[in-house]
Amino acid sequence: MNPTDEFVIAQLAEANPAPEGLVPGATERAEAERVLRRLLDDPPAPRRRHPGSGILVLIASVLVVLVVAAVVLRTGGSSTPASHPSGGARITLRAEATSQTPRVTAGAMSREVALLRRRLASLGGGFTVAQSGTTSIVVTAPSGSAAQRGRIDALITQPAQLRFYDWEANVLTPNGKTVSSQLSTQNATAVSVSQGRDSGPGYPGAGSSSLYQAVSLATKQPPAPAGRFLSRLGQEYYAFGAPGSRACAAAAAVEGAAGPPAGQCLLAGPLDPGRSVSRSQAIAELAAQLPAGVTPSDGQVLAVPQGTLVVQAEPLRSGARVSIVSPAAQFFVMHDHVALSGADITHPKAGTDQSAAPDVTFGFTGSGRAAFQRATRAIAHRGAEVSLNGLTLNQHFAVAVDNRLVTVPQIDFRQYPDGIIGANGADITGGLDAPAARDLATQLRYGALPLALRVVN
Amino acid sequence: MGREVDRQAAFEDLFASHYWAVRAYVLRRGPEAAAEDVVAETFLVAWRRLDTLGDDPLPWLLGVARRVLANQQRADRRRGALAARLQSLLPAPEPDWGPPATMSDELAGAMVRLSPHEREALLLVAWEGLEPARAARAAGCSPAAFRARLHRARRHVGAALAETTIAPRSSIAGEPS
Repeated sequence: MNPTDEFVIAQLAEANPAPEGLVPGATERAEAERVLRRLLDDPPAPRRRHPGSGILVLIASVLVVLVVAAVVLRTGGSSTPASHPSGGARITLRAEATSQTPRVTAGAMSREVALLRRRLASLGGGFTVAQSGTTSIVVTAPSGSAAQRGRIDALITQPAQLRFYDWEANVLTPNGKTVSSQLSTQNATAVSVSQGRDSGPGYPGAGSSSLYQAVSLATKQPPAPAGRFLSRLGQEYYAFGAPGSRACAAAAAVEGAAGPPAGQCLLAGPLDPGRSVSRSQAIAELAAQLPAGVTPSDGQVLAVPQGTLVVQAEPLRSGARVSIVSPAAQFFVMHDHVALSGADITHPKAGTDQSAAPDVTFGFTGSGRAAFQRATRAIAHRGAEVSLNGLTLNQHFAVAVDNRLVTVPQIDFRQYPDGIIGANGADITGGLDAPAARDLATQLRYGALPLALRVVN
Repeated sequence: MGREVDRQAAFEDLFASHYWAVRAYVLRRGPEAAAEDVVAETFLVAWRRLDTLGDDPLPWLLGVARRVLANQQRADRRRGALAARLQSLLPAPEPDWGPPATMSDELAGAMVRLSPHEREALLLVAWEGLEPARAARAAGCSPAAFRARLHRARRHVGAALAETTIAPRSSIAGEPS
């Protein structure tokens, strides 16, 4: 099967040598100034000089300074004129508690505002982020293209929670058992999910399944009690349409697809309404996302219990930003037992390792260091235990941003028989090209907002 | 005099609004050393045609930048005629378009095999983020012709990528405990 159009565009976008949103440095700004001066000093039409044109020269000089300042302050890439915030968008957000930040405190709000400012700064200038009341945040954004608005929405509303999981201890095979529980017998499916096939683990095809299959498997898991290791409290809801149904045709039309997919289609969701919301309230929220003319009774509503996750197989190296609704999208089901979160990571940086291959280095907070050492020790010990009969089965960490699986690095149990101490940080290396390393470092850096944000208007 | 001042102000607005987008377009397709001249030449043409520019001048500006870049490459080739003749003796001549270092070998191979029109169609969408109607204006063709080019390009690149296997093996490293 050929990769989708979306995949091709995503691959190219990742290879963009001058990505939009790069902040111009002093050299680039000087170049902009030089070009403008060149043009103004030697305009294409002959300019008649009048006596007393000194005033004009003065006005022109002021204009040059103003325009150069405007150009310099712009942060590149945008194709729209700089706008006053009042000409752009004003977005009001409500902050809500998460399992990792169970109360909306003044400190959490302050961190949230600071992180939002940093995230939006990556798009350039012109944004304001301010706290309003005790739980609201108001963002004003300059006007821009539809693509730019999409990125703003994504940066604001995506919780972009970064989490590390012990891969084999959490990922499930279609029989609902964890991979780690089946490795001692070298179960073929479990080994395939653990080690990957042609590609590494966590890639589409390495034991992954369609969204409907994954959600169906996830719904069969028992709910887990609330605890600090969970990334989500409460259930996650999906609405699916039957193959060839009118509802799927309506959903395909909304997505601009040529036609409905062969199997079940996603009509609405995933919806994470929080733990205090009843099933009927959640279905009402889900109904609001349905395509026009489709009701919840036209589809099947599935609820993934607390303690289970459906993650999309979307590793960085593939460059695939495949939409969740695409028939090409592939998923894994995991227990939601977080080993480390983005808040445990410090100073992520893209660079190169000793062999000049792209890598990402990072450090840990005090508690993060202990958690990392504990997790890597468990992973390394299991690698040694299940590597039998001449078969090496190194075990893995899974790095997920939101519900996307971005990389699944292995821990070599022979090199690290008791795990990695983490005192001097750690690095993820191999299987990354330079853009993927940069993306991962960015996600590690901006990954964790302490509170969930909901757009109020 | 007032008209000249107005014209200059309008040009400065145009420059402030689109300089970075035009520069990025040129950097994505040509050597960095040439970018300043190509961008300056593009805006010089824009200044001459300032009265005829519509509400959405960016696609037109990108079209001008493409032609300026092509003219510059042609001039460079003429200057290096001997080198070009020598190069023609080699079994595989260099393509006009060079993939950036950020592009994987598989993708670069697929892109190099596209026709220049098809390649530009893909890049206007993927790199410049233009919708097909605006991209068609930048490419200087009708929207229907542009959609056809884009479709062919995506199909060819998609097929080429499907044939390749990525074998990533990442690992996590640090100090043993």
